[in-house]
Amino acid sequence: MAAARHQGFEHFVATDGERLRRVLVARYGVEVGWDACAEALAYGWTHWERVGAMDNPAGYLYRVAVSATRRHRRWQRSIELPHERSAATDDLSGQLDGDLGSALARLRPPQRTSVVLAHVYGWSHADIAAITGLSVAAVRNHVHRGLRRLRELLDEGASR
Amino acid sequence: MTRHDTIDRASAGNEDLLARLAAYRPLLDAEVVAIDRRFPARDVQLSGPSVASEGRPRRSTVVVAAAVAVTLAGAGILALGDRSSGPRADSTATTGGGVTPADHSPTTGMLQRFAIDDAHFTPIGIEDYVMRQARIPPRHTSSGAYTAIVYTVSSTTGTVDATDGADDAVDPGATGIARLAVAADPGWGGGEGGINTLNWPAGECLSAWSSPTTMSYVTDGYARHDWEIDGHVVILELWGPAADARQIAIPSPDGDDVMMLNDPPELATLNEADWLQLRGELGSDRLIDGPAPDEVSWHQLFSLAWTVDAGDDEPPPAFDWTRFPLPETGYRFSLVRIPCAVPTPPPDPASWG
Repeated sequence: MAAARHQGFEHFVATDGERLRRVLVARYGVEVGWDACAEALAYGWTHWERVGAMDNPAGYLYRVAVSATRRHRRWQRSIELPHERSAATDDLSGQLDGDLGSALARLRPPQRTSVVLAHVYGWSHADIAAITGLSVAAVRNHVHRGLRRLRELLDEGASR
Repeated sequence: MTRHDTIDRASAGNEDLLARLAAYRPLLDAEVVAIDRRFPARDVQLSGPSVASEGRPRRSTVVVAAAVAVTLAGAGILALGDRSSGPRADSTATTGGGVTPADHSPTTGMLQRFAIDDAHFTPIGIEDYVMRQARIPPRHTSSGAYTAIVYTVSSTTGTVDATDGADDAVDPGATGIARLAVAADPGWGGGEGGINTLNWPAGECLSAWSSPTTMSYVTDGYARHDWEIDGHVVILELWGPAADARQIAIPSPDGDDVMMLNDPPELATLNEADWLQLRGELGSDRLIDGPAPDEVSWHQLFSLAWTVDAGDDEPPPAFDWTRFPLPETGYRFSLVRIPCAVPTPPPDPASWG
């Protein structure tokens, strides 16, 4: 029984753990997202009999992680995303000289989540919707508006 | 919908931006890996100076303040990056004064680590630190899903007060209140999901039935604070319910053997003499607020202290927590803060090398 439980959880981590981490990093930044993922997995392990039987355990644990980050918000933790390395992106920056990481950090969380997952990690809107609990239409809007806002922020960065 | 659908719809006029986003992926992934590397697990193994006996400095004692973290062993998601190096106890050689020479720090490697990363040298930073530590090690223990992490605190150089930095060590022997933030939990009488800050007087025992999740919360809270342990030993006790009787592997003081102890109320101390002395000074009834003997099938007391004779060149043995599986559920823990005898003076900074 315990072995099966353990095996089921390990399988989940192997197949969906990375996905869960990425969505949380996209939403909360690297540090908080990393911790939130650990929180969610710890919860998942503890409640695996129930969580493992769900249709969408990754989506459920995403919600668990979102709840777990309340204390981070209470402490006004900032979104931490890496700065672009200039050498790696010089030829890509074009007219948008602002730092991408900083600009992403300033997006609204649903926009940042959707943009990062769609265009950094290449997820489909449907996949994003499945794990975040948003509708596909909502994801599409977040991506669209997020890209627009991102361009504005990068333009602002370039003008400074 | 495929990735191409997604990109095609958004690409018009955004090609430059999308290219930058795509190029950003390795940076983002690398940053996550960097967390792992920035907080290597071995650095929880720190040293501290001395507990005196009979009013005179006698020896150095490595005082281990237990911040026990539960994490998921084998949770591959936590194993991002290169863990091949494992704990690096070899680089944490300590002197009899209890200070890692390489630290150049009057306190501990904990502070050293914050000094390395100024961004984390804040109250929130130390919480970061502990949370990292709490989750870093995907210890592939043979039987346990959880792992324990221990933080050490100096008993003579003063305190681990990561909020103020390395220059803020308290006077040796000063008393202080460990402000222990613990997670709200039914056993702790706190509110929903929040973190309470407790004043934790010396000698008082905090204990609660706990789940691994709660343990992780406690760990989070444990260092969310300026944590003043000056001259105290913090002991972690684990009480296991009868239904969860099992053996717990405990690394031996020399770091090699593993003691298997499971007969309550066996004392699994790494330095039994000191433990018994301290226990006697305080009174055993104040130390343990555990369940009645018939409620448990085992009792483990982790008195995480060991000694190094003054002047020893050899560092205290490394403690291999990778071999420390905790029971998965339903154990009780107590954190006991015991005032030590007169500590030795802080080591001379000039001797740190």
